[in-house]
This record gives sequence, C-alpha cells and structure tokens, in this order.
Amino acid sequence: MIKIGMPRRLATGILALSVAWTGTALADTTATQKTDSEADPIEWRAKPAPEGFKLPFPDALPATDIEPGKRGGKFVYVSFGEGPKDFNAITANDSGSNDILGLIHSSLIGFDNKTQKYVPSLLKEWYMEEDKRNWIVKFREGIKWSDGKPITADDLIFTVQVIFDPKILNAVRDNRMVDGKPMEFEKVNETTVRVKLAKPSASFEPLMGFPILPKHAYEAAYKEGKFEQVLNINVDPATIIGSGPFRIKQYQQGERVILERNPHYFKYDRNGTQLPYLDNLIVTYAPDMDQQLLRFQNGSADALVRPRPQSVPDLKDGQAKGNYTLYDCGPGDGANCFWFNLKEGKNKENGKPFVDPVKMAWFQDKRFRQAALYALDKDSVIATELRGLAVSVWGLESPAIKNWYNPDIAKFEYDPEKAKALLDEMGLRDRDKDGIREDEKGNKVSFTFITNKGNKVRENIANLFSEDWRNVGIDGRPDFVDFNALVTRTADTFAYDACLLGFGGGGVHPSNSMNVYRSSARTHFWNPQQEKPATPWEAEIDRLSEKFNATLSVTEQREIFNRMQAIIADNTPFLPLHTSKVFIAVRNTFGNLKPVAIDPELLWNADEIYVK
Amino acid sequence: MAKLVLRRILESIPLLLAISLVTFFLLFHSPGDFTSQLKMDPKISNELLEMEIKRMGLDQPWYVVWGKWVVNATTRGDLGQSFTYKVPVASLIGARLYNTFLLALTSTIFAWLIAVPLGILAAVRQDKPIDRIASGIAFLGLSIPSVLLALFAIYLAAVTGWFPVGGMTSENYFDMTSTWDRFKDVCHHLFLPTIVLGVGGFAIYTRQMRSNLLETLKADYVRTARSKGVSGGSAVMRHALRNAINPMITLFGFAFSDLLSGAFLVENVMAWPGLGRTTIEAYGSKDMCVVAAAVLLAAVMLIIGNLIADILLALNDPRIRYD
Repeated sequence: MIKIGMPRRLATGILALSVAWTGTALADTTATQKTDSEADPIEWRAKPAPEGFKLPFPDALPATDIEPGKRGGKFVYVSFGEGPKDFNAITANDSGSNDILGLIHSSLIGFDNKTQKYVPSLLKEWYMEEDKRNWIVKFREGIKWSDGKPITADDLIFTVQVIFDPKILNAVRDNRMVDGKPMEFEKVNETTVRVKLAKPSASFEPLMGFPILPKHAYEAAYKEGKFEQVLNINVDPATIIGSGPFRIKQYQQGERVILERNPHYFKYDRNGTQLPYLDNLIVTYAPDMDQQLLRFQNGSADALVRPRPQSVPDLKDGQAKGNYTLYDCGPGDGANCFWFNLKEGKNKENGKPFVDPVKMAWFQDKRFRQAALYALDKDSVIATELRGLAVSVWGLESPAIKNWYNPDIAKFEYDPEKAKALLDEMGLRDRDKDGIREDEKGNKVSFTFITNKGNKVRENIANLFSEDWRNVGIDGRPDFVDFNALVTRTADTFAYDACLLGFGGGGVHPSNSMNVYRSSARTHFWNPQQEKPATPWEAEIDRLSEKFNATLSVTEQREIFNRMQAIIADNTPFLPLHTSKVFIAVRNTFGNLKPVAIDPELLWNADEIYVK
Repeated sequence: MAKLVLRRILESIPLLLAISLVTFFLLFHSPGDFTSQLKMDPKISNELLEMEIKRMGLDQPWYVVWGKWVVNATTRGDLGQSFTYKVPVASLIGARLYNTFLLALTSTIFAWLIAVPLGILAAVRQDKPIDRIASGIAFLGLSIPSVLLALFAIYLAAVTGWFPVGGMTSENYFDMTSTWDRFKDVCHHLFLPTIVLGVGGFAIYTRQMRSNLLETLKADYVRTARSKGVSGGSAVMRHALRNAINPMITLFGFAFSDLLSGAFLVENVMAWPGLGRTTIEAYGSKDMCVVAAAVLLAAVMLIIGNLIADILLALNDPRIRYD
C-alpha cells in the first residue's frame, strides 16, 4: 500500500485515507479510536464493502488487504509432535489439537497476527450499550457451517451454555469470567445477541475471541452427557463441523491430517473468489525435529516453522537451491526465566522450611537478585550457545507482543563490578579467600538451581550462568531434573532454591499473564498463592491488576500494564534472560504469506495463502 | 499340549496382576502427575485443575485407583480412559498396535528367513568365502547401533528419494481406490524400517545358527550317520539341523517380546505411527491407564512368545513332553 521512498507524512496520510474506506481495515479505525483517543465507549460497526468488491451476499467478509490469488493446489506443513488429541474446540487443551481447530473454526472476533489487532470475523459488529456493561453483538447474515446449515445466535447461546456448564471441563470458561462471574448471553433475534458483563470491561474483544459450535450437530450428544466424546479423534471426520476455512477430510493418527476447503466459508477476495484458495492443506507430524527438517529439505513439506537454532545457518544457505525463503520474524512470544524461591513457610510433613532461612534472607534482598542479574553475561550466551538467534529481554513480556510490551524498564546489563559492589554492600564478602563469598556468620553464598534436563542448549546455558556467578563469588550450581520432578518441586513441595525454565507464549492479551503477576495466583512462580501480598511492591501490582480490569480505556490499561512491567523489572523476582527468534522457511511458490513470531506463526492466515 | 496352554494362562494371571500393581505404585510415587503441565500454565485456573484431578481419580489413594482399574479390566474388559485423548485406552492402543505389529512381523520374517539359511550355509561351508561374507555382514549388523542405522536410512531416503522419509502411508493413500495400490504404498514405506529393525536380530541369529550347527555337526551321531553312508546334505538337514535349531526356538520366544521395545525406537526415529510413540508420550505426560496398558501388553507379549517357543520346541523335539 505504501511505496518505499514516499515522504513519511504523506504515506501516513494515504494510510489514514485508505482506512477510511476499506473493509477489514475498519478494525484499525476502531483500534485507533480506542487506544489513541479517549473516545469511549468502544464501538465497532460494520460498513459496506468498498466499491469494486464482488461479494456473493452482503455480509460476506471482504478480504481487503490481500492480493487476489487463484484457487487450487495444496500446501504441506510439517509439524512436530503426535498431532491432534481432541477435535472438540471447547475441551481441547493442547497445541497439537488447537493448531488444527484453529483452521476448522473461526472465532467470533478474530485477531490479525500481523497487525496484532482484533478484526471482525463471525461477528460483523459489536457495540457497548448505554450502561457500559451490556454489549450488542451481531452475526453476519447468510454465513453457514461447513455442512451448509446457517450460523445463528442459537449456536452462540448453545456454545456458552456448554462452556459454563460445570460438568464440562474446559479452559475456555476460565478466560470468560468478568469479576469472577460468567458472562451472560441473551438472544435478541436470529443474528443478534446481548452480552452481559458483571462489570464494564475494556477487554471485550479478547473475551469474545472464542470459536462456537453448531447446536444442530452437538446438542443431542450434550444432552445425553456425551459432549466430551462427540468430537474425539476416533469420530468420522464428516461429523466435525466448523466455520473455519477448512474442514477435516482424513485423520491418519500419528501421521497427518488432511484438510480440504470448506465450501461454505464466508470470506471473499475483491474478485469475488471465495477463500480459501488452497484445495487442500496437509499437516504432517514428525516425532523428532531432524525428521521435520529433512522432510522440508527434501521437498515433501512446503514449510518449516521454528527450526532449531543449529539448523538455521544451513537453512539460510539452502534458500536458492531449495526455492524457499527463510523469514526472520524476530523474537518469539516465549521467554526463558530464572527465579529464586521466595516461598516462606514450612513443609507440613517434615516441618522444615521450604528454603533455608539463611538463603531466604539473601533471596529476599532485592540487591542480591539484582547482583545475580548484573553478573550474567547474557549477550555472550546468546552469541555462542544460541548462535545469535535470540535477543536479551528485561521483562516478563516479549517484544513480540506489540500492543503490551514496555521497552522502558530497568535493564541490568552485564556488569560484574556492579554485582560485586551490591554483594559487598550486603556484607557478603569472600572472607576465607576461596573465591566464594560468605556472610558474617561464615555461611557460603551458595545455592542450587533446578532446570529440566534433556535440553542440551539449556544445560549448557545453565553451566555458563553458573560460571558467571562464580566470577562474582556466588556458588550457584545447576541441578538437572526431570520436568515432572521440577513441577512437583516448584508448585507442590517448594523444595528448591531457584529455578531456570523456558516458557511458551502466554497469549497476546495480558489477561493470561495476570496469573503470573498477581500474588495470589498459582503461577506467581517465585512465591505462589500468597494469602496477602508478601511485599509492598507485590501489593502494588495486585492493586494495578485490579485497576487494569476495572478501567474502560485501553490506553489506560496499557499505562497500567507498563507500570506493572516496570515494577517487576525493578524488583527482579524474575531474572529475565532471553527470547529466541522465530524463523520460518516457506517455498517461494506460495503467495500471501504473512509469517509472524506469535502463535500460530504461519497458518493463521491459511485461508489467504495461494499457489502462485 | 492343551494342558500346557491352560496352565500358562492360569500362571500368567497373578503375574499380570502383580505387574499392574507395581506400575500403578510407581506412577503414583514418581514425581509429577498428569496435571504437571497444566500446573505451570497461567491460563489454567485452580478450579479447573481440581476438576481434572477429580476426573482422573488422582485424589484417591493409588491402591484404590488400581483396584478399580483391575475390576473394570477383568469384569468389563475396560482398560480405562486416556487422560489426554479422552477415549478408551483400548481404542487408542488398538489402532497403533496394528501398525507396530505389522512392522514387527515384517522385520521378524526378514531377520529369520535370511538369518537361518545364511547361518546354515556358513556352518556347512565353514571358513569358505560365503562364511566370511556372512560373518562380515553379521558383525556389521551387530556393531551399528540401530538408532544410527535408522538415521542413516532416513538420510538415504531423503537424499535419493527412493523411499519416503518416514511415515506409513502417502498423502494420497485414501484416494487410492485399489487395495493393491494401497498395499504397494504401505510396503514402500515399510521397507526401510523393516531392514533397520530386523538387522540387529538378523546378525545375532546368523551367528547363533552357525555356531549351533557347527557344534552339532561335530557330534557323534552325525559322524555315525555319515559313516553309515548318509549323504552330507541329508546328515545336515535331517540329523544335525533339528537339534541345532532348538536353542533358536528358545531365542525366538524372547525375541518376540523384544520386538515391541525394539520397534519403539525405530518408530520414533522413522516416524512410524506405532504404539511406541503413543507409549512414550503417555510416559512423559503420565497418562496412567495408557502406560499401564502398554506395560501389560509387553508382559503379555513375553508370555505369548515363550508359549509359542515351548510349543514349537515340543513339535520339533520328540524328547520334550509337557505332561
């Protein structure tokens, strides 16, 4: 849209102009309205498709920002793991299943992974009512399930009935609570639903980012108490009905899922061609990463997402020969962190404190934690072990989460002298000249940190960090344990000094990370499930998280969340380490590719990808 | 013979019970459980975690869970539900077991059909070129770890394109209309895993067959037969071989149970959609009933293998009686 070389101001002007009359970009106007001004209440209303768009029915979704492609062909994607374990979009809770479910279902409100903005999907418009608690949402008219039956308000009502049914175990429910109470849904007419929130919320879009299921297909099973089985992996694929661009043609367990075009998908390009362009999308599964790489290299797969760092140089060199492009999508949404165990209290069984009180006194001292961070030469670890394919981070949030990442937080860049000075200030000195510091009573400054074994790179990093700490007189030794044992020790018995762990992406909205920030949360890793905040700064974070939920302005939410990130960085309960960059290799024979660093990295716009 | 089979079946019941008991004990007493992964996930609420624990019965003592499992398994043939897949364990394992069995079968056939004749030939032509070649192949087969061989096979497939890189079927398998085409497709995928899985056994059996036969050929009765004028071939085939093959049959019994565990490794490296991958995944996530079923299956294989060996021994050797 914007040509390179055009004066910046002019380019912005054109952008603003195009936003005014294009279709999907309408979401952008709303976002601008919400975030850059105080124009609350939030409102999103559909506008007609721009001229030149050939839509088969008025409410079809115009794909405005893509180059029109041609229909046909297939795309083979090689994934790591064992494949889907459940085809039930409400109860499934693993990435293998969710990857496929994301292709066969559309959310009520969508999310554009490239612009990181909420976009209309099954819902064409939504707006807040006067009381600021109730919302009106409107479905597109004329849209259909993959079996040809119409998608209506009844399907939404049915789906939320299932989600909030206490007998149905699902994680969708947890993220649909406002102020601890379920969202309520009331049918207004066939295409309109009123959504009632317990409290006004600025997070309406993320709250509505879930898929719905067809009532006509699954209500009978639900009433018989068989909802959790009705979409298991053994069912006939023809009974798996969705609203997404694809539907399942065949599932060969442990091998591949073959997806075919959903003939009733509601998105069209400007030529009036119905999406998706691909006839088939094939997701194959490799049990190890070597297999995954080989299948891409020998041409039996068209794309490879997140190859291991050691494969990246080879993949870079092979681009011309293999007719593919290796995209560097920047830092991903995962994080590697280190934390000291700050859990006070005693083990009920043996009466011993979770952490040796001598060590606890050091861990609780902010200076100690900061010294530990100053001592780490993260950049050289990134340059050597991670082959330069990661970036150093300073907070809990990854730079990949554009809307919420705060870059202006305290950074404790590698400085062993500062580390030493802080430790000296604490009275920790090397009194017996053996290279390791002692406190006044002669206790050696030593701790062990647990990390999960089996990951060679992580093990090497742990050893390098151990050396870094030794350089400033701290004896920090890694202890490699099985992942299950690590969880038991960090979440149940609290029998550990410190822990080094990698996390996957936490989602694109802070509502999930709140369960790390809040002191009462189970995943407040360094000191979980506190009855009342242990420190003033944790109390402050709790207050901010309340405020985050209470405000109606996204701008204010952002300020609050920035503040929370800054407090965490200052107090360093987490020693943030690095985030790996995401690389994606895709053959050059495909168009409309928009690879990004957040999950799903490549197939989030699978409906737009076409064979050139 | 029927008595033997019956006795073996009766004997195996307490054994299988004991094995399942130990499995459940270990599953409950090693660190972590099925909820470990969920516990570290900020998206999962405490309420959901508690519901999951209840659903899986992890809030009860291990012996209660085991007791219920045994009762269901024996009275209704219900091996429980997979926590991960939310389907009955039998249906989960059944689909994969067929694939593993297929691979085990072809590699057994490959190993035995080549190993036994080659071993005989090597013994009869001791120290001749054919013996040297057979020894060479056997040593090579013994000394290359099967992981390495599997990797090599995969690379060979990737570089040459003669064979598919892992998997059991082609993308268009379900579009093939003739059974013959489907059969050919699976065979094409089976070739490399069969060789990789079979080669270790092949090497052992060749060496074993050769030395067994050499020993029997030196026995007095063979010499007697030869001196009575029995031809060389007939002495080997009718007199020596039947005795030399006895230890091989015993070996077969054990090899049968080994096939599953051997296949696990090859399955993982060569992406064969077998039981091994499901089992390894279940071990990692502590999917209790799946693990228990997989362990029991291995035990059953051992029992069946030994039973088959005993029956074959009796058929081959008239001296062996089981009454």
